[in-house]
Amino acid sequence: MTRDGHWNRVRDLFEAAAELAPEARPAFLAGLAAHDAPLKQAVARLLAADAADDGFLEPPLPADRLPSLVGRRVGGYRIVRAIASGGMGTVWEAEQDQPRRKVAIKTLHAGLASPQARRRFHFEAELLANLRHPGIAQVFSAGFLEAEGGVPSVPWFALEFVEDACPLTRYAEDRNLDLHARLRLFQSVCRAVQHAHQRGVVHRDLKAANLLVDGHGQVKVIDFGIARPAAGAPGSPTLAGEVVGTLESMSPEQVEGRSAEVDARTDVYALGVVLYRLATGRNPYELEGLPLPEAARRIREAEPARPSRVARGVPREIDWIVARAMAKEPIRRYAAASDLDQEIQRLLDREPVQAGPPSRGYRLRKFCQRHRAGVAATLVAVLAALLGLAGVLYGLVHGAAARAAAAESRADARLVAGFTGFFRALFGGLRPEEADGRALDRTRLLAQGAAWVRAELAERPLVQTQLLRAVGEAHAGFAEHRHARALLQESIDLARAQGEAGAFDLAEGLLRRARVDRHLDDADGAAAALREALAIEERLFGAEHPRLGAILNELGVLLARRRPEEALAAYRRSHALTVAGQGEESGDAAMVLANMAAIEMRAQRYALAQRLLEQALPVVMRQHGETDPRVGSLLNDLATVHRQLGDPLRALELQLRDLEVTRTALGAHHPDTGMVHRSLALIHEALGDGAQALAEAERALAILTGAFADTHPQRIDAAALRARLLARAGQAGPARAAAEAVLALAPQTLEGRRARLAGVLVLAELDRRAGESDAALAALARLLADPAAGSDARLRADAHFGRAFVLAQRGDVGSAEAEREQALAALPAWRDPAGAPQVYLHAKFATLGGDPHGALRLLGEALARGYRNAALLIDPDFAALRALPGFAPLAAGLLPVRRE
Amino acid sequence: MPTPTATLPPPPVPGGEPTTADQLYAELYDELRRRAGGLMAHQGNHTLQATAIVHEAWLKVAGRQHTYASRAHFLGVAARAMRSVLVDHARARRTLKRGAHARVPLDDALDLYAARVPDLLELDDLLARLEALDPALVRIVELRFFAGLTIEDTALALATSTATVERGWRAARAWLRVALEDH
Repeated sequence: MTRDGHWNRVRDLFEAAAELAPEARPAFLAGLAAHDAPLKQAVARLLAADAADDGFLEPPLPADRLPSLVGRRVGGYRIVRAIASGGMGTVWEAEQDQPRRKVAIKTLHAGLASPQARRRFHFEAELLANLRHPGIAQVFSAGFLEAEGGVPSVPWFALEFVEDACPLTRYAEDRNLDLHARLRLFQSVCRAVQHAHQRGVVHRDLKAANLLVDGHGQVKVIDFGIARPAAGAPGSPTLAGEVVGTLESMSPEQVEGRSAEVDARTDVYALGVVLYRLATGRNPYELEGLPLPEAARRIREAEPARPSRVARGVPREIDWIVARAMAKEPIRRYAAASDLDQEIQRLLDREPVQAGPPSRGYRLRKFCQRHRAGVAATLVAVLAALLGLAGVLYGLVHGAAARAAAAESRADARLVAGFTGFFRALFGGLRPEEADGRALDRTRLLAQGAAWVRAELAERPLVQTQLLRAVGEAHAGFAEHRHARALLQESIDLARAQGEAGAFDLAEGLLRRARVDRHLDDADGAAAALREALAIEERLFGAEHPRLGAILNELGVLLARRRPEEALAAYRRSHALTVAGQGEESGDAAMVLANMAAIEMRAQRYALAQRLLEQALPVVMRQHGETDPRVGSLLNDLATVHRQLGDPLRALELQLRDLEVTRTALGAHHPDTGMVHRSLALIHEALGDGAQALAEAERALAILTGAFADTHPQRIDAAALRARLLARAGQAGPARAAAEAVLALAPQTLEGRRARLAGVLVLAELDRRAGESDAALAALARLLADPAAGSDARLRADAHFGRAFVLAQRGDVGSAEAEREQALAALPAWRDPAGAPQVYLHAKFATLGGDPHGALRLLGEALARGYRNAALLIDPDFAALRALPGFAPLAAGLLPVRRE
Repeated sequence: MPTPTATLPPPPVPGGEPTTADQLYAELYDELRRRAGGLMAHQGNHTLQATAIVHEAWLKVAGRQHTYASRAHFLGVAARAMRSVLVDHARARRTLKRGAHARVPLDDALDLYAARVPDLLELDDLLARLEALDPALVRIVELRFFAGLTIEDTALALATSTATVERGWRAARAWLRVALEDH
């Protein structure tokens, strides 16, 4: 077999013999030249080897070898005919005897050799059999076809036979369905897909051919999840042609082979493609005939033409919905098929959809992602253009008097603002979790920019100052506060070195740095920077200049929690200056009032807060529109004020308006919306509706959990509220678990301590009820011993009241009174008999101390003053009070009634 | 079932010289090695994976704007690279002391092939012998066995008819089986 010539002859003879029927071969061999026995033997051995049928070297894809199964029994089914065949498998029509019905059998071309692969297949088949939905072709059973006659062991599925099946897109086109009907069909697909997602099955191959409509007009999604057991890597098509059949519906993560990223949002992408096709009659990308790498590139990078441009009568909302569903990054897509379904419902109901037009920033960002290398060059060019102009201006201002220089340099500043604006447009709104892969590029870009400014502009220190500030601001825009701070400090030092000529830029730099300092939790640094900036601007522009109003407002925000009285003074001056500059209708001035109200609310001076808010709200509504998020925040504060003032019904009305505004402006999953639900929980508590309160608290917690880290103060606060409401509802076990989770997660910050207090109060309440009063007292004492509690009057008052309750309940009246006095000393506002919290607390104190009649009297007096709060109806601590005969008429009064 | 609108088309050659087979080979070798490991690691065993791996390598390497002559060229080089990846790994595994060897994902890939041939290294030796005898058959084996192509795709890759591939495949299999028995 070594000579080429010899081998060629052997091969020719072998091939000739192999063509013959097996029974004719011996005669053929016998006829070979008798004198060449080795040749004859070689051919005979090859023929024998060829006849052995044990899968030797056999490729795993016997697609071209699978013989007809017609007439064979597969599982309990008899194959009737082949329906279709493709790269992945063949579909057969089959009949079942018991019950007698027609089924579709799908055999896969892949053999499954290893025991693990078979186990996995059975597992997947079971998952699929669990999908039961009118919109999904049911999988009845699955198994293996045993190896036989050259056919390797291949897996099969028995599926619901879809009678008179018509592909969805053709169905819509043949019947000339209008957009409304098409969208309804599409919603049926979404619901079927959602059903599968909820059971952990992702389709992965939701192409048009897999979406059928049966004879009754019922949508049937087929081949659910079959793509996974069938393909080696999810979504990775076979090499043989099959890829092009599905490429149209493949998501960027699939064409890039990032199989680990394939999840429900991959199906959402494919649904977007289906919606596009249904709305326009065309595919989003024309990939036909394109080389595969080019097709893949388009899917990764190109934006499809907007549906409204492609077909007439398609509303813009479809553009937005398709863009969101087909976003390149899965994180930007709808999170679930049901979201897409609801979005279509909103469109059909003529409600605003959640998806909006892509922002300019988003489009620019897309541009930058595609042309990353070019971006640096563009930046340099723009920078150079700006600086060319800036240089001219610089020449004009150089050497001018300080005041004039400051004014002129504001012209420079406008240019620099243009530069900053460009930076922001380029990167604006990029969220940190999306920025990971690009962080290096951006940091390097900005570092290059700063280096360039330092090197090239040494002789133009003022422009250098401004541009370093701009780069620092760009860093701040990405929450890179340390980088930002370093650059801003560099800019500040440069400005300082220029004396009076740099004074304006010094102030500007200090203002920016103050904001960064706040993010870095350096309140003292921020306050110092603001004060210095304020002094400079007072000197440059005069103490009455309106622009000081903005600085004073920032100073107020900074001092609000730590030094409320100083903050109020800053706000008052800020308000006066802003009104002087912008007039009574100034939206900025109104927001200063709202800031003042926040301080008054924290100090429990609700009546004052109410006046401020009622002054600010109409102005903000006129200036910013009724659906601005700022309006929502003012409504929220006003609702809180009314709740605290004992008017929960008015609070509910305001809060529901707030819910509408906030949800419309920011979306149902925005943390601010979560905070509105939190407020609603408190209002429902005040209305005596424990179940509703708990439901709202859970809604709030769900939203905030989705939006924040587990340790975020707002999330923790909602968790603490839920714990308290669980305790009120008598669910001691869940309440304790929830409270302990709060203690475990609450961070060491002001808000964290508040949340911890709330958790400790819940545990103390539970301990108290369980007769463990020592544990309750000790926990509260520990909290009070924390030096950080010293500066927080509200926290101390709450903790002392908590201890007072424990002591009152165990009959230690003297100590209980002492604790109550300490609470009131900490928070003198609670002595005021008009407010809601103290009525509640004093009544509870009396009830627990064995004097329910005293509590009844207290409540009666409060009722006479207009106090309306039914929270005690759902507080187990008031059991003794509720048992009194005089309670019923009182309760009727506490339950607020809508006033006409 | 959709009608495929096209099979894998030749990649674009925008005026550039085709990359030499060696360069492409080196790159594919790395890519395949990585992918073979990665896929096995999270997908468990599956016999379709050889094609999946080659397909993904195709997307990746083609996506890097390499220019090479044709699809056939690519598939041929890819199949050869796949063969080297597996054989190298089998060789490395053999030289390691038993027990000192931690199982790596590529082992799973190897096992898939091992189920269809008694000894991969022996097969590799025999293919070297067959190369001297009938190189065209080795190309067929590489494409069919190592890259997992169908008869049709093998024919496309070799720019020949399915009948030729079919005949060559039978001959190669028979020869290799006989040679293994004699080895």
